[in-house]
Amino acid sequence: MGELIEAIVGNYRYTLSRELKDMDRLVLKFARILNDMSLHYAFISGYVSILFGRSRLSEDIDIIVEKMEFAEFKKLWDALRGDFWCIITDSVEDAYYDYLLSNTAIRFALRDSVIPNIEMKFPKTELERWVLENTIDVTVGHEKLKISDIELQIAFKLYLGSEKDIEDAKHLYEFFKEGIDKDKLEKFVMELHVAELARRYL
Amino acid sequence: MEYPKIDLQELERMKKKNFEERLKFIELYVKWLKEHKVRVEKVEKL
Repeated sequence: MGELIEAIVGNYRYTLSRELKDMDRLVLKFARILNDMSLHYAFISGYVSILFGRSRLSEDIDIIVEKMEFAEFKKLWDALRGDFWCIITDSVEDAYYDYLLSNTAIRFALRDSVIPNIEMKFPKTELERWVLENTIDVTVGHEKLKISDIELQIAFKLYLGSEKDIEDAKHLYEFFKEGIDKDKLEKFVMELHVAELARRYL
Repeated sequence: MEYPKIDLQELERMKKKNFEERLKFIELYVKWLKEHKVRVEKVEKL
């Protein structure tokens, strides 16, 4: 039977039924803390494809979380420290000042493990800020999380360009075919100079 | 010990073919997913 995973893309509601994996439970735990604190965030990259059924393994899950003051980050750190540990550093000051503010990601894993882990960063480009302002709400059973815009995700995966990335792009394109805004996708494809890859592989 | 001769061009062709086959598989896999595990419904424009 599995869990129901639901998102609206364009004018279509997609509901996928699948069993949750350890990686999903890790993501949902992390998202619950961010939701409780009403923070803006977006899960991006490979996990978006995996969430919607792509069958592959991944060591890390990428997330952009809104930039915040140290006091707010300390609250998040304390909330996370119940279930998670920060692999990179034990110091909340180092995590904030030496890593996040220096545009370097920090990684959180569940207390008894290292992999999979969540790689968290603040937005550092206009594109990443746009991602935070244009998220898609996903419901997983009774839980909620936010992911990146699908059209951008597809174009960006083509831009990254490894075989794995192109396969992720292909999976998302085939999955969300009905709902994808073709004009928006084309705009991102042109801006990222991946028209040839899009023509060949999508 | 004799080592095998490695034909890099042949390997490159195989690599490309494997990749294209995986992309084709993804197409078939997502088609199967959408027939068996996914419900797609049109909704009113939000």
